Amino acid sequence: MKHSIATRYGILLAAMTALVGCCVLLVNIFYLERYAHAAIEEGQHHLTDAVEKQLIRDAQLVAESLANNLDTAVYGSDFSSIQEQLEALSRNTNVAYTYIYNTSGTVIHDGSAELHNYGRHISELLPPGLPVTLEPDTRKIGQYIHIAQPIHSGETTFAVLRIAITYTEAEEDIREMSADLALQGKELRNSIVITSLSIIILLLAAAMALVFFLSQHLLAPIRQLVDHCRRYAAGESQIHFKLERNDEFGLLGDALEEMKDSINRSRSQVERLAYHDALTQLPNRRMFNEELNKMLSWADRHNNQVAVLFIDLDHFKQVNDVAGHEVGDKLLIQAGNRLTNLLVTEAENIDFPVPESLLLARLGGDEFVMMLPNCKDRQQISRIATRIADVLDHSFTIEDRRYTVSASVGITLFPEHGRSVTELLKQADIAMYAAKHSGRKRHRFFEPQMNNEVISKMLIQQGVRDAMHKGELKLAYQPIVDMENGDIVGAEALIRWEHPERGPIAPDTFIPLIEKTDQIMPLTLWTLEHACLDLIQQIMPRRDRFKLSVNISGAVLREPAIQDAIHNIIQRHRLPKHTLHLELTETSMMENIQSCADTLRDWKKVGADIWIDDFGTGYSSLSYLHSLPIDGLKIDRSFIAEMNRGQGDQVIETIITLANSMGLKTVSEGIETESQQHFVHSRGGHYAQGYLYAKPAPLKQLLKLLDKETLYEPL
Amino acid sequence: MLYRRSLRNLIRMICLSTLLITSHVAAETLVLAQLSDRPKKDFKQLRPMAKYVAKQLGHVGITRAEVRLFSELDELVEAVKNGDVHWVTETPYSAAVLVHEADAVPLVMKWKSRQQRYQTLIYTHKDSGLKSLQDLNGKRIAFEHNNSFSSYYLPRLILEKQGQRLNQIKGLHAEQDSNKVNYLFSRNEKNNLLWVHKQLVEAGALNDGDWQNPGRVPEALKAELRIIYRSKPYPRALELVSSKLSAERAAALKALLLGMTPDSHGKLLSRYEKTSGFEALNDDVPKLLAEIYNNSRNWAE
Repeated sequence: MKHSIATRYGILLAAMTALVGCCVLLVNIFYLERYAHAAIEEGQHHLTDAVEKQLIRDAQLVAESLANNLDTAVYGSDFSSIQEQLEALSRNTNVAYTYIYNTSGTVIHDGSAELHNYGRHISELLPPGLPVTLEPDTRKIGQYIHIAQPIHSGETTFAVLRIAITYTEAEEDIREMSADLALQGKELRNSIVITSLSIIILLLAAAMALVFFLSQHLLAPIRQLVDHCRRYAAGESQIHFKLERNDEFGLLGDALEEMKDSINRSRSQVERLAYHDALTQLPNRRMFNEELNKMLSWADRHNNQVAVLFIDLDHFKQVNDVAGHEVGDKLLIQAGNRLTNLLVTEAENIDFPVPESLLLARLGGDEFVMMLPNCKDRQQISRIATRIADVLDHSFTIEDRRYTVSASVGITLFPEHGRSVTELLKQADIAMYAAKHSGRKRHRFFEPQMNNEVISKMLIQQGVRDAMHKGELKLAYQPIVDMENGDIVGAEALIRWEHPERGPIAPDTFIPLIEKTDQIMPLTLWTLEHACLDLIQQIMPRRDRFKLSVNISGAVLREPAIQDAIHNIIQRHRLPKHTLHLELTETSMMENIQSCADTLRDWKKVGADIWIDDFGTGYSSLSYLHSLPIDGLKIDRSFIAEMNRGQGDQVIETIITLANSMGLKTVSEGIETESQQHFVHSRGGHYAQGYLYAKPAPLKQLLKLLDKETLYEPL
Repeated sequence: MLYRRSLRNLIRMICLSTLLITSHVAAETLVLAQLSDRPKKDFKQLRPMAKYVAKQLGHVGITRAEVRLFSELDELVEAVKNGDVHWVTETPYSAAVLVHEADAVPLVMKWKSRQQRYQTLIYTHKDSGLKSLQDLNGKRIAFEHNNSFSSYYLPRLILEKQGQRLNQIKGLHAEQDSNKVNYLFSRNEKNNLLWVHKQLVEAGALNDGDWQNPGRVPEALKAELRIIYRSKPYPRALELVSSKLSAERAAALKALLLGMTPDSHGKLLSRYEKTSGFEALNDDVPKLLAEIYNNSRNWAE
């Protein structure tokens, strides 16, 4: 914690301590300096005074004592004794001069060995301003203290001692003492500064100690909470933040505790969302995968068998489309409940090692998956699968309406069919697929060869989308000729798939597969769009009244959006009327005749003609046929092919007659021989299509044919 | 006088007997003595020589030495006579008294300050007009002190031999006898000189050693003074021993002292009152001492 609160406040505290300390120190030093200065000055003044007074007193004392001692020597003219005493004075004192003169002022000794000034008058020798007196006299003149001291004999004064003591040394002393005083002041100041600094340093140390105490003790709860937060963040869930304190830290702990509870609640919700299907509340794919994985490990260890049942509702899509998603959702919820109840019932027969709630999951859409551990044999599993199909086969009542779906179940077994979750689910899916193809309400166990069949189908279903984008899909055109004159009046657009690995894939193979998927509509629209482009850009410049036929799959008609989609394409290309023929089978039209009629009328409104394809192979009521806005019938090739064997003739005649009676045109498909051509033409057929004229071929070849004008000589 | 002699003899006898009794065990300490009015200075001057001699005389039983200083000649005389003092170094006047009153035995002559002999000078101020000893009648002369050979005994003797009568006065302010030479003591050579120079007295007496010493007689002052008389030379000082000291030890001491020259014992001699050597006695010395003593005995005390 590089910049912890404690550190920050500690630094602040230390800085304030240092600042205050320094201020106090500076103020102290300032006043100390002033006081010391004044004190030293005063001290020096007093000192000077005292020293001067003392010096004068000393000098007077010296002079007095000397005069007392000198009386005998002076009286006896003991010059050497006088000299010794004066010399002794000069040795110990800084004496400017020493004179002894008698009452008449004549010098009798001057301190020298030779007595140079003997006999001279004292006034000649004294500095100006000093009286020749017989009385005691003390004067300070300049650097000297001049003293006159009488020498007595009894009451009589018979000589005077005059000495001058230099003041210089005393001044020197005063200077030295002053310097000492100043030095002492300075030392005092220094010692105060040092003491103050020491105190500041001590205070700083105390501040630091306080910081240490703060970080160690006062902020300990914070650290504890931080630690708990980190541990909680790391995933430890059994953490408590309550500090059992009454202060702010305690409040913080309580708040964190509340936050933890809230987070825990959110977390369990999130977990529920992440692992459960929101609609049915069943486990979702992720949870099922994890549980199955655990189950497989358990089964592996206990040599147990696990069955994975992939359940898909048949016809659910129609319910969704027709009745709406809300109904579909309710149906799924009911289906989930039925399956759950089934499992609860089965739990009495089978000892599941986990709760039943973990065995069933919704993978998405109408797909459910179930795992059955502890199953002994296929019969038992088969029985359960049958029961599943049975419970889902009963109609569902939703909002007072009944809906019927069935279920296909694919079963795979661990460890027999696979050992991993992914593998097992995929195989169960494949087995379900196979079951669905073998008819509704069936169940199938996975078999290895299912893989190939299903995979190739799945490849086709999944590959067609890529094929559209990658340009693997092409349009071939088979001409339709006018039987009267042999002119090419139109062509049927047929889709071709050149798979880069599998080669050409026949439309008969992949169209039925695609019709079962949601790709049929894009494929239909793709075909229509490209056919329209070819028509407008390549064909119409050659034949402006060319009629182009495009197949509309019956599966597409169930898509509500198809009406507008095709409507838009026709309108966008602004095709002239009757140039685009949309071919639909009877069966697809009959499934929902009313809505179909509306759709067809809509398309006709924008200029398309409607033809019934493969007429005669399905069933159609003539009344229905009459109510539909149809422009023509295409006679199915099977009737033409049977014609030679003498069976299709009457059917062909009947259809043509019917068409003519309803004012409809006919195209006979699959004309391969001239006799077929002759027969159809003789019975009144208008147009023909077949190998006799041309095989389906790329656009280039159609264009060549058109350029040659006619295909055959008319009869 | 008689009393004094008999007393002296008695004391001598007692001392002798003491010596006889104790000589073989006592006298381990050799005592050197002198008259002194500056004991501190003189003690310092005598001590090294005494120590040295004691060290050298181990073979005659001397183991240590001691220095004693006396302020009065009488006391010294008594001590020498008792044998309390074994060895004295003194000027001729004191020596004469010691020989005659304490039975001291002169041992050798001492040369002091390069002076083998010294003489007394009698001087006046040039301004005084006094040019002969005769002129001093009715005047005052200053001597140093009454133990001084060169500045009391000798000049007094000289003046008396000239037929002058002397009268001691008590100070510069005292009344003087106009028919005599009035003398008074100046205490030391400095006062002696200054009194004459400042004409407080008419004449003074100093020995030539002091006269030649610029520290004592500055040249400037000397120029204003006139020497009116020079005495004949006298021994500077004498080394004497107590008659109580054994002959053996006295002989050993004499031999030791005579053996010292400035070359061999320069430093020791110099510290010993600036001695520059010793000289054996000649016949004149006892005569001189006797003359000094006899003359002094005639002076009224």
